[in-house]
Amino acid sequence: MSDGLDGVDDFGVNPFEETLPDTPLEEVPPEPIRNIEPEIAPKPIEEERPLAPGLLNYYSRYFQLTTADFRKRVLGSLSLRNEASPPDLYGPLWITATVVMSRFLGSGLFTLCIDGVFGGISTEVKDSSRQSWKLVHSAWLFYAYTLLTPFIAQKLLATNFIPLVSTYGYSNVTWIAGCLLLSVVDEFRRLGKNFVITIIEWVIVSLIALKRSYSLYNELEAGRKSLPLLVVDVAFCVAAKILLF
Amino acid sequence: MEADTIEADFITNDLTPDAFPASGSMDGGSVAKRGTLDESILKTFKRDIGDINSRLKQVVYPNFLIKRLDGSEQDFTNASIHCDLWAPLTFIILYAVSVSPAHAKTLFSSLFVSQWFVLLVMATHLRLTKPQAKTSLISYVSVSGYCLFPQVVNAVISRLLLPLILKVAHNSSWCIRALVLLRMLLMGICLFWSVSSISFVTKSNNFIEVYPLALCFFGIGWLTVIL
Repeated sequence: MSDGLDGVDDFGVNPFEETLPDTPLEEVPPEPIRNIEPEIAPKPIEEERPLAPGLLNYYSRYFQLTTADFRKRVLGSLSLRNEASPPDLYGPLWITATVVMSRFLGSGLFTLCIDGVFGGISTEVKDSSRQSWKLVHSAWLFYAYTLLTPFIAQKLLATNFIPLVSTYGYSNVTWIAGCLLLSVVDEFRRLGKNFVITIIEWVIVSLIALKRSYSLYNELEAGRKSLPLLVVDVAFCVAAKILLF
Repeated sequence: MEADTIEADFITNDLTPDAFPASGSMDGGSVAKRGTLDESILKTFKRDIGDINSRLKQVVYPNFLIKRLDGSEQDFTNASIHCDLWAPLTFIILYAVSVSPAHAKTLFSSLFVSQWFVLLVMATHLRLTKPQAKTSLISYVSVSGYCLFPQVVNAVISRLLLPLILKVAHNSSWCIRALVLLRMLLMGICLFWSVSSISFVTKSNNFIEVYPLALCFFGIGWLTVIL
């Protein structure tokens, strides 16, 4: 059967083939989708690994505090208010170290300024052994008191040891300024008025003892039970005056 | 039989500096160099001093400030892993010899012991405040010992060199005044140097971490002024 159209290709153009238009389509910028926030890849949460057993790892929990926490606790110990805060061991150790250093710095600095800078006299030989002994005495006295008295307090008040160490340690803040002040006053002994200087020093030590006793009485919250501890604290202040100044 | 053999997908090189840090150098090449018994003592000393020097370049020398500004911290990532006590020992001996005067024989031993104690205190502080860091106590002792270097420079200049100048100037009162002031100035500069070094190496940024280290270095520096 012939349809009379021999030689004519009925399928010159494949009707099933997709053809591209001659003119390119106008590019339309994608419209921003409103009210949908761009997706942000979530940050991986760093999980803290559990610490391995060990003495240092165990006690490291008492050294994890921020600068703001530390400032707050120091200011709290200076004020007469009783502010409850979690205990730490950072303050007791380093505040006591600062007290020892303030005694060491205070006595040396004023001697150096008066003799070395103003007087032009060499102070190396005569003062070195005195400075060393004062450093040793202040170190053992303050650390022994700060770390051993809580043992007695623990027996008397039946409370935990670490909060007591924290309380006693932060109460040493008063001694930082006290040591510097007493060092300045001590330098006036070279004027010859020893009696007056001794009275001034005892007044300063009494004020420090009073402030410490009041703070400890508030923070221990034990009423009359804490009275023996306050007596021990006053005895410590007297010992510090006799041994160090 | 070959089918039963399990081959490793990758080969682990355990002789990396992280695994076995060679003293003073971060390249694995010096690992093979160690343990040579047939070399001369001079060569051993030279190598050890070279190692200490390369370590000082890494953590203490002032060029670390330039590198910090560049942001190239890859050289310092393994700083705390390193552990040797030769440099701290050398620095402590140098410090104690410089600070203790000729007539004070007992002072040397007191200074020697107290410096090691201070390094141990600093290391314990770093270990307690950074319990999650994978650094051992002895590594912190080593790092703290390296950062003692500015204090040694302070001790040598203020206790040995400055008094020599004073002797030349016949011990006049003005020279003593200048000596005291120069010692205090030098102590301040070296204290800043030591504290910046240790806070950079141990990545200590906040007050809680830096203050005890600064206090310890201040005590060491103050001894050179006062004794």
